[in-house]
Amino acid sequence: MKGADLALTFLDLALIVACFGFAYRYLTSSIPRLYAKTLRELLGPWADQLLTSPLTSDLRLRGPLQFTNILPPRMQLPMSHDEFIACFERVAPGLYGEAFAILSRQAPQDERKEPPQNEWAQFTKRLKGLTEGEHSYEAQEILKISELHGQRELFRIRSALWQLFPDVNGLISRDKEFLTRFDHANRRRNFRQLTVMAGLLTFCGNLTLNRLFDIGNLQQGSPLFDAHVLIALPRMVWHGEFVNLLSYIAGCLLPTLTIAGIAEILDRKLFGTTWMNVMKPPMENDTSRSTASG
Amino acid sequence: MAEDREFDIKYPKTATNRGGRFWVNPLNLIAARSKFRMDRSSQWRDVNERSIPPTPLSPGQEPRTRSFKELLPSHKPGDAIRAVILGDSGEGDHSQYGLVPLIRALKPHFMIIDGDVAYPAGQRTDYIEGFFEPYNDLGIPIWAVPGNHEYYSPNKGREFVDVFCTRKYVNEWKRFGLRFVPQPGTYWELSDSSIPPDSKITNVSFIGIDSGHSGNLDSDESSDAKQMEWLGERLLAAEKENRKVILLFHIPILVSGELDSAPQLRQLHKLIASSNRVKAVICGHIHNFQAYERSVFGKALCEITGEQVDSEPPAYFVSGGGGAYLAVPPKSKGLTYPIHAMYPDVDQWRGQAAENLWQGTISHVRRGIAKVKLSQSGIDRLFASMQEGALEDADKPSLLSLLYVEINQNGATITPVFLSDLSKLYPDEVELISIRNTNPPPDSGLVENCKQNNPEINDLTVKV
Repeated sequence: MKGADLALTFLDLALIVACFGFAYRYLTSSIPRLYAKTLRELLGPWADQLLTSPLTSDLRLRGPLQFTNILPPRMQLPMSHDEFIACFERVAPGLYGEAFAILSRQAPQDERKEPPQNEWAQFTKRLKGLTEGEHSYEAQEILKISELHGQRELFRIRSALWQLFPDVNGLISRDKEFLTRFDHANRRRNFRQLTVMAGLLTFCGNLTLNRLFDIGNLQQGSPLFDAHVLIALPRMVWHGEFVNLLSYIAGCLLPTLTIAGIAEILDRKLFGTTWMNVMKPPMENDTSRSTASG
Repeated sequence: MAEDREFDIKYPKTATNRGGRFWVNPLNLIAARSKFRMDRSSQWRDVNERSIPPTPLSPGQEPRTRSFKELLPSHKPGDAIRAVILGDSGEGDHSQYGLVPLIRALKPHFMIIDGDVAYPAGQRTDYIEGFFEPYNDLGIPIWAVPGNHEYYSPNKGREFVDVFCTRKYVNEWKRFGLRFVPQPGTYWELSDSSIPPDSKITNVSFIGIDSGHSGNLDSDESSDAKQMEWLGERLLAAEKENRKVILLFHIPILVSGELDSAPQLRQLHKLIASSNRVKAVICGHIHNFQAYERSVFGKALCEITGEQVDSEPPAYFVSGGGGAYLAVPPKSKGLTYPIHAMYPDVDQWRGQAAENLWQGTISHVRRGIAKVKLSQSGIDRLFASMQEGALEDADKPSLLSLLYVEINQNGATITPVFLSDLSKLYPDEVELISIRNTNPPPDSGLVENCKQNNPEINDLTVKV
């Protein structure tokens, strides 16, 4: 058997595994799920609120199995830096949310040196009347920040308000690290899935290294998927033929890893999306970023 | 106790969401298991607390200290303060809801929960059903120290920090009619530093300690050392500022008349023993009320620390009857550290438990398990839930308790109040008390009346 034939066999199998992997990931929306998981690790359970609020449904998509539009879209792909800020400012709780909404409306005007619309001034006036009751603490905090930075410095006020949510703020200011982490988790998850699939293929097909040589040499015309092994394996365990079992597993391991490795490369070349470019790193003069990172 | 007048409590629908058979659900039992869990709470404390922002309202203040003024905006130094302290509240069933009319009747300015805020495992839904919904419309700030169940959550106590220390749950605080004032951390101090040391105004501060997953603060972890160092500093400051301290933490070392060998809180008790400013220690964890004489706690401090206690030992309470199923009471005689008062005692517990044959049998088995000192946590929950389920009415909460703290110009007092006192707080004609009744009884001297009617309670009141 030529080495090229064996390589081609591995390549064929890897292609099958890569295609299965892609289909599985697509149908189970595993990238949005992984994104939610990574966010949850960093923000805690509050990430669920951030990702499921109806206020941010325009930033989400319908998943592959959400055929109708009876419910709002539920699939959240990794958000860009600006999308994330917008998403957070919409779901920020209580009076903080109101403050963010006003500031995001007024800040661009402030930048363009347009005359202020006094919306913020009216808001702070309203806050002064809320010194008692459920909202008093939030009101006091926002008023204090407003006093510290002056009514006209809306940009600084917005920045100071972000400091009240340090983990969200940290996530935005370190978005590159977050994406590296997400990308790493994505690749690790992909490789794990592909290895499981390659393992299943190797096991169900009885594709030990010897067998692959046989198939390559076309000396044995037996079908690829062999039910015999499914019966033989429990018998090995039952009769205590551990040496046979171990040698069988070792024989399967090498093809599994080889197929999974090639499938991973194929997967990245054919279907892979690197999320490193989704949220661009902060530009030096990008003012919207400095708002979030304070 | 004086004879109780019969009355009914009208429960909202949310009180039955979790039902009387909460602990019969195997998922809840598994989620709340204490066995086979590694205690890494001190590491998680550091991780979780990273999301707590500094507040712009107290720029120059000690990082973990807040003033009463921040909690109660209209408060002035020397104003009377009323607070309610209860532990082990968060089951979200009838027993927890049953205490709400009593809390309303006492008209506290704020409330402190001494751990186990959300059963079974401190997840988001547990906080909604076991904390926000029961205390709906109380309109006061609530602070807490984390208990062991808060650290059982998949996020290892992150939810506790999110609910009590960050601004993330502001909408929930508002939706459930509670006043949101974030805590500075999982361990904190609430005091009035504006009172000068030589002032005649009673100066009392509350210090909450995070006893973690299993009451192990003697480890080499930097977080534990940091907490103890902080406590040492605050007790020194209390000495300088002539302030009395009420110390709260969840897991007790002295409980049911014995020293519990599991919690490692030697360092904490050394600090308590060495400071003459700690006037009361309040714990939870065990679901009933226990009070000890100062001398008995002094003896326990000697035993724990191996040193003689020079000053008057603090008053010591275990106040875990704040809403969860009741623990089996220990025998009252022949204990190494005699319990001054226990509620419910064995007779009260039996009387309540043995209302019918089924309950009597279950209580007998529970007591048997307690006697042979088998691991109680899971089994006790299961049996308690079966007992609770068999009651199928609102009588169960009548054995619950809380501590009422009043600070005024005459000093500070801690009074245990039991739910059976509720009937005395309302006029005779009231037969049905609604949990959502926002009109507490008109009488302002509620606790005073209560004490007059109950000499036992008067006896238990501790002057701080």
